[in-house]
Amino acid sequence: MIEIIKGTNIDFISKRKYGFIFSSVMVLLSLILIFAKGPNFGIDFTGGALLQIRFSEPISTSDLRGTMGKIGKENALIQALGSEGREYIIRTAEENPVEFAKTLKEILQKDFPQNSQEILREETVEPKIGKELLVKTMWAIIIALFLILLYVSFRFDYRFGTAAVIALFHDAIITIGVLVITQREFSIVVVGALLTIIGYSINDSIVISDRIREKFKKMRKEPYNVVLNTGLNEVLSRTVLTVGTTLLAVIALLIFGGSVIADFAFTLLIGFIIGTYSSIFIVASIVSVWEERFPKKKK
Amino acid sequence: MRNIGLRIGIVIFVLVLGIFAIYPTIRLYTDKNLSKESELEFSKKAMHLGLDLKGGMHLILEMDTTGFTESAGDLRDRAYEIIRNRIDEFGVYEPVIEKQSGGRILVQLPGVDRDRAISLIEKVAHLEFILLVDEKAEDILLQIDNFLQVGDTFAFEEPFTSYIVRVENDRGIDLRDEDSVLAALDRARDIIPGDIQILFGPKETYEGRAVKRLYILKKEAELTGEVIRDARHEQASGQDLQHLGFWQVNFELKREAARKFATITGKNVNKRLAIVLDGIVQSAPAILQRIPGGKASITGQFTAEQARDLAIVLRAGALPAPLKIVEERTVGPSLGRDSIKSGVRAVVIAGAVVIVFMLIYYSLSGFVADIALFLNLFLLLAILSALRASLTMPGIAGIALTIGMAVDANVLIFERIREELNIGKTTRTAIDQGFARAWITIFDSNITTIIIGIILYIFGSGPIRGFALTLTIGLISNLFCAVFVSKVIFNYFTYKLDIRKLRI
Repeated sequence: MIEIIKGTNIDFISKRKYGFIFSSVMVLLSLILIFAKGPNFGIDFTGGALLQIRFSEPISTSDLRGTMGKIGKENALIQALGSEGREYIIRTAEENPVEFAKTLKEILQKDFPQNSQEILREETVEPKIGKELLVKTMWAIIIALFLILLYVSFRFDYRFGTAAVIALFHDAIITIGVLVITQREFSIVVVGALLTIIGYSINDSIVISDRIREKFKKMRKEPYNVVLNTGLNEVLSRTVLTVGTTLLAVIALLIFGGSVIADFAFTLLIGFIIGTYSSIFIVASIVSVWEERFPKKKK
Repeated sequence: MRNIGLRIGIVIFVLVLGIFAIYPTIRLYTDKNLSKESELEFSKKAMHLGLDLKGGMHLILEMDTTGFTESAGDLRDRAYEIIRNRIDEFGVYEPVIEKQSGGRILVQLPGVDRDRAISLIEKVAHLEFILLVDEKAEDILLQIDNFLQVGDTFAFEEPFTSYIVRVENDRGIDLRDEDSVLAALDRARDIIPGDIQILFGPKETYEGRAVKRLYILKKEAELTGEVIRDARHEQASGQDLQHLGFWQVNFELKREAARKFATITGKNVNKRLAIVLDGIVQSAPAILQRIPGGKASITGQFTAEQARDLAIVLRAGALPAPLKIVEERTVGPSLGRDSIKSGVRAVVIAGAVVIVFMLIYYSLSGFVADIALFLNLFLLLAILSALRASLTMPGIAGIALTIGMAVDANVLIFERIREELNIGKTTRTAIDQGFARAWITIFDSNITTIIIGIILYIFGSGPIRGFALTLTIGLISNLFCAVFVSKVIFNYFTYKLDIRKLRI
C-alpha cells in the first residue's frame, strides 16, 4: 500500500492571494491574446484547403514556400511533420479551396518531378460551409453551457455554483490563450476538446465542493476557512490521482497518437492542468472571499 | 451482502451479452481466412472503421439551381438517384449517400481512387448531338481575324487563325495557346452569328504535342436529353489508327430517340454530327448514311477505366444541374493505416501505464480496479459493435480518455474505504460505506462529462461525433463496471471467502 499524499494540511485559503493574482494575470493575458491576435482558426471555420503530403525524398520548408509563392500563396501555413522532412501539412484560408488544391498539386508535380508526392489527406471547405459550421458550433457551445449551468444551479449551493462557473470560464479562456500563443489550429475537434475540459473541470469542482459541504456538517464549530482547507486537503490525494491517470492517457495520445490527433490531445492536456489548478486554488478561494465580505447567517 | 448470487448472475449475463455482441467484430478483423459470405454476414453486425482510419472520401455536394423552376429539393432528389446509380454501378463497398437539408448531398466512399470517383460524381453527363457547320467555318474564322485586327485595343501580335493547327483532318489549337484563344473568342463573341457556337474537344496528344480540336457547330442541338438506353465500353477496333489501343464507348438510344436519330442522319448525309458531352465535343464523325438502329459510339483517347466510367455515367443519366463540392475530407489509405497504428499504440500505452499504476498504488484492490477497467473496455467495444458504430481517430482518443477517467470512480471509492478503515471501521463496513458514500460523487462527476458528450454527439459534426460516442458510452458503462462489478468482487471476497484484511 502506497500513499503519495497522506494527511496533508496545506493552507490553500490563506495563500489564495497568489492564486488570484496568477489567475487574473493569465486570464488577462489570454484575453489580450485572443482579441489582439485571435485564434488560428482552422479551415473548418474559415473555409479553405488543407493538404497533408508525403514526399519520397526530404524537402525543405523554404523550397516549398518558394513553390507556394509562384501561385501567390507564400503566406500559406506550412507545417513539417516528423523529423525526416518528408511530410508536410499545407493549409490556407481560401475563397475557392477546390481550385486551390488542384493548382497546388499540379505545381508541386511540376516543380518537384523527381520527388514524387503522396496525398495523405485532402480537405477543402467552402467559406459558406465554414460559416455554417461556426454557427452550429456556437449553438453547441451555448447549449452545453446552458445545460451545465442548469445542472450546477440545482446541484451546487449558490456560492459554489457561481465559483465553479467562474472557474469554468477561467479554464476555457486560459486554454484558448495557450492555443493562440502556440498557434495551434483552432478546429472543430479542438472545440470538442474545450467542451470536454469544461465538463471535466466542473466534475472536479463537484467532488471538492461535495466534500466541503460534508465537512461543514461535521465541523460546525470550526472557522469557515479551516473547514474549506480541511475539505480541500482531504480530496487532494483523489484529485491528484485521477487527474494523474487522465493526464497519463492524454500524454500517451499526444506522444503516440499521431499527427491527426495532436492538437486535440494538446488542448486536453493544457485544459485538464488548468482545470485541476482552478478546482483546487480558485473555487474554494472565491467562496471564502465571499463568506468574509458577506457572511452567511449562522443557523 | 444482499443477493450476491443475483448480482454475480447479472455480471455474467452482461458478460455473455457482450461476448455475443463483440464476436462478429473480432472474427471480422482477426480471421484472415474468412469466406466472402461470412465476411458479409459479420460486417452486418460489427463495428466499422471510419473513413479517417480506413481511407476514403467524404464529400458534401451542393447543386447550383439558379435558373431552374423546379424546387431545389426536387432537383436534389433527382441528382441523388443518379449519383446513387453511378456509385452502385461503379462498385464501392458500403458507400454512404444521403440527402441533406439545403439541397445538399452527402457522399462517403471508403477506399476509392479520389480523382476518378470525383469525376464520376461530378460529371453532369449532359449529352447533345449537334451538327457541324463546316461550310461556314472558314468565313467565321476570317471574320474573327478581321474583327480583331480592325477594332483592336487588344494586345495581339498575331491574328486569330495563326493559332489554328491541324489535328488530323480537323482544326485544333495547341494547349499552350488555350488562354489566348479563349480570350480572343470572348472578345469576338459579338461577331459570331447567333446560331453558331465554337466548342473544343478533349485534351489529346497529336504528333507529340498536347492539343484540343476546335469545332464550329450549330447552336441548337438536334437531339438531347435522356436518350441513352444502354452504354458499354469496348476496345477500339483496328482500322482507326489515331485511336489504336484506346477504348471507346458504344451506346444505344431509346426507341423514340433512335427514330429521331434515324431522321436526322437521313437528312444530313455527308455532314458531320458532333457528340457533345458537357460542352466538350467527344467525337464528330461524318454521316455516311442514315443510321436506323440508334447505335453510335464515342471514340477518343480513352483508357479502359475512363471508358468504363463514361459508360456508367451515360447509363445512369445526366444530373439535372452541375454539382459543386462544398466540403471534402479525403484520407489516403496510408495515413489511415498510420492512424490506426498510432491510435492503438496510444490506447495500449495509456492502458498499460494506468493499470500498472493502479496495481502499485492500491495493490490487490488496484487489481480489482484493473479488472473493472478491462471489463469497461470490453463492454465499450461490445456496445460499439452492437450499434454498428464507426470507429474514428477521435473515437480512439475517446477510448484513451475513457481509460484515464474511468479509474476516477475506483479512486474515489478506494480513498473513501481507506478513510473509513483509518477511523477504525471493520473491513466489511468500510467497503459498504466507501461505496455508498462515493456513489453520489461518482454519479455527479460523470454526469457533466456525459452531458457534454451527448451535446457533442448531437451538434458536433463529422469526426468529433466519434469522440463523443466512445467517451459517453465509455463513461456510462464505467458506472456499471467500476461501481457495480467491483463491489460484487469486493463483497465476494469479504463475505464468501471471508477475507478480513483488505489490501488497499
